[in-house]
Amino acid sequence: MKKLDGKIGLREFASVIMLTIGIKLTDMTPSLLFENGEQASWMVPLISSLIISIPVFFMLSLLKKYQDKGLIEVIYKITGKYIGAIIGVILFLILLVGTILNSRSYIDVISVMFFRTTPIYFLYLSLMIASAFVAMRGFETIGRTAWLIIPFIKVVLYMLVIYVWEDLNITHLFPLGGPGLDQIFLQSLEFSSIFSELILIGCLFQFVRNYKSFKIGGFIGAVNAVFDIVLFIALYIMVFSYPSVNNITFPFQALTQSANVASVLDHTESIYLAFWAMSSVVHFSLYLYLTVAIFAYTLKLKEPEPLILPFAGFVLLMGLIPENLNQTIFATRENLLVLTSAFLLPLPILLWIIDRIRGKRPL
Amino acid sequence: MKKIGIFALIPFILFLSGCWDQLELEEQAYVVVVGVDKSEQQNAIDVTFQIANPQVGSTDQSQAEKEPASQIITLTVPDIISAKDTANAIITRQVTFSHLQSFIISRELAETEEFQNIVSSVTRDRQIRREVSLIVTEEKASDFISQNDPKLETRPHKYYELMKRRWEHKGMVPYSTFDNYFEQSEGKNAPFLAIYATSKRKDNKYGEEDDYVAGQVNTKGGNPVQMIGAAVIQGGKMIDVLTGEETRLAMLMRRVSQADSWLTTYKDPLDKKHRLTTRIIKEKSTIIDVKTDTEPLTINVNVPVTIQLQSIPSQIDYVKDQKNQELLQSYIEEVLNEKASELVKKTQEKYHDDVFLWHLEARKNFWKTEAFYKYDWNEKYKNAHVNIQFNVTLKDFGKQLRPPKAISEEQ
Repeated sequence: MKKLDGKIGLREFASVIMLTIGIKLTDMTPSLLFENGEQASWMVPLISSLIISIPVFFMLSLLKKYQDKGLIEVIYKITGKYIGAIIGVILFLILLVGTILNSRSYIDVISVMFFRTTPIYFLYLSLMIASAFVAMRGFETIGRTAWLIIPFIKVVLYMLVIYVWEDLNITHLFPLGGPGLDQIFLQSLEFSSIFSELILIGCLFQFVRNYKSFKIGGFIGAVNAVFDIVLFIALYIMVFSYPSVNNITFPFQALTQSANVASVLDHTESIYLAFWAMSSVVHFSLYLYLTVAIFAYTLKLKEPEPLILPFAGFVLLMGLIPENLNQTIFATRENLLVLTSAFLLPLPILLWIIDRIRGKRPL
Repeated sequence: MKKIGIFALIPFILFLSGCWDQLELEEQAYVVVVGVDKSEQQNAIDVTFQIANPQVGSTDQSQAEKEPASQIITLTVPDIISAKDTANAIITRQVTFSHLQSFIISRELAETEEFQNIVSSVTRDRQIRREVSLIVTEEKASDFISQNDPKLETRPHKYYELMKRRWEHKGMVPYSTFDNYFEQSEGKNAPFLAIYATSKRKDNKYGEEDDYVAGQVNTKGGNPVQMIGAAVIQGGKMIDVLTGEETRLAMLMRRVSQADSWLTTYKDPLDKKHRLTTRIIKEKSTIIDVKTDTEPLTINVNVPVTIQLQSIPSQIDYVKDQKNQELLQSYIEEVLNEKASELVKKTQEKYHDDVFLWHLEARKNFWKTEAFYKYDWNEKYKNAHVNIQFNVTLKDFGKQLRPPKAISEEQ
């Protein structure tokens, strides 16, 4: 057995990426895309992922150059004390707000679809305690948990495709172009921050065993996640058809409701609730850890772990403020995603350019 | 240290077992069928629940020997969901929709604008699944539910479950669920076919095996409920009724249909007194070629069907005689083509839209959604050239090689 050293290898890293990004097919991300993507919504994540791969490529080249340093340290190295701190704070805020909004929307899914009368604060508390519990043990534990559950999640997820097979109608995907390619491309650009984790995870670069594991693991994870998201968005459209799917708040949960295993089992959603809850815990433990890590590294603190519990409490308190789901999601999350895209897409490229200029002309 | 950790988890067992959303099976009243009628009160509807008694028909029956299999109650309420609580004035248990099988609307109500409002408001409830079947009844839904007395099924949910499975394959009624309804009505104003049923026997006619609307099938004994034919719903309300035969044809002409095997009879082409019984099997999908660039719109439909000859009362040799076979084949094709063309004509003139989901095929010809809307399918369909070609393959002739002949006295 290998000794634990706080670092994770290729497979764990790939699982973390797969899980944290892939789970977005179950939340309200697809609903955001249907609004303007129409029948062609499934193309949006595909193009988005291609767009985001450009800055990721620049980031990788930076991380390779500054061996063993996370993205935040690299930013400090390149831009200096003051600008580095500002960028760090912005990244931290993006993630913090994202964590709050996302966690609240997950709680709403549970509350609306499954536990009607359970108070929201209690559901929220349970999720936060569970996530903090995993996150407090460090990134390595998150990676191992992800690796532990990903095979089950994947199997259960693809089983769903078989269960809904009879309800699929491929003609619902036409007209293929939906609102037109220009619209699709614009959407993809705006929502490319669906994959923002691919850049943000660079802050935890030092926890991955080596550069190769980071690069290949990240690639495998991302390809898997993109495939799943595209597949499921297409499934939602094929099962529910376009204008209809736009009126469904939680397409994934609706899909699990309409799935049936022959005529034996027709209430499959409870099975999916269990697996979905597990993935959510991993998703939010990573989010918590990442948020706190960016915070800690920006302030040049050594250990992020002790800060996780207070942050979890903070997320819980903030998340409880909005009265209902539509206030949080459709108003704020869309804006946040667009803003994040605008900030994150050029960031690695700018860093890379500055690094090049300064590299030639040592200060 | 470890022990303390384990003890710290004990309170969670209390929390996680749940006090808020716990469901005690004993305290649930599972509604199997919901019926909705127009009420005499303004802005209200009459809602009928048929609530299953899970104890009847189970091993636990000895505990509840005198209880009926289900209870039917009707309430006058502003909407269906709130009726759940109002029902508790009578019922001791918590009313639950999670095992709802069928949603029944009376024709009277379906023909008003309210239909759309009722159907779309119900789906907001998280317990109601999108695959609940949608049934329109000739009479009041409450009468229908109380009249429904299946002799072979004790438990009401079993009746609807089995009926649904039969429908899927026999094609006498369309495949109609909430999900199908939204799919077809939200995209555009396409007519939707809902199951049509009645418990009233009326002006019985002889319509061979499927040329009936519900209520016309000549039966004696058994359950008075008949489900055959389809209610046509367009623009959020019911506008017409299709017979069982028309429904079957409509199902055949869709690209894929769940109904894939059914028995039907044809006049024997060589002996007009008798009818041949055949089983129609649809193994391949219908080929639909919509030419949107022609004026008028041209639709070529090719329906491949396989036919098994089930009985030949006329005793004519169709099995070994190649010539007779070809004759039969072309005869069936001709009959089907003719009937199908009539139905298409009806949809063109009456609904100005197709019930065959051809517009979904037409969408393939467009790159942008906008372009399709601009094309104005309804207007174009009205005057469209529709060529229907059934391709009949005679697959087998049952287990007799030739008809057993009775030898008459003269021979």
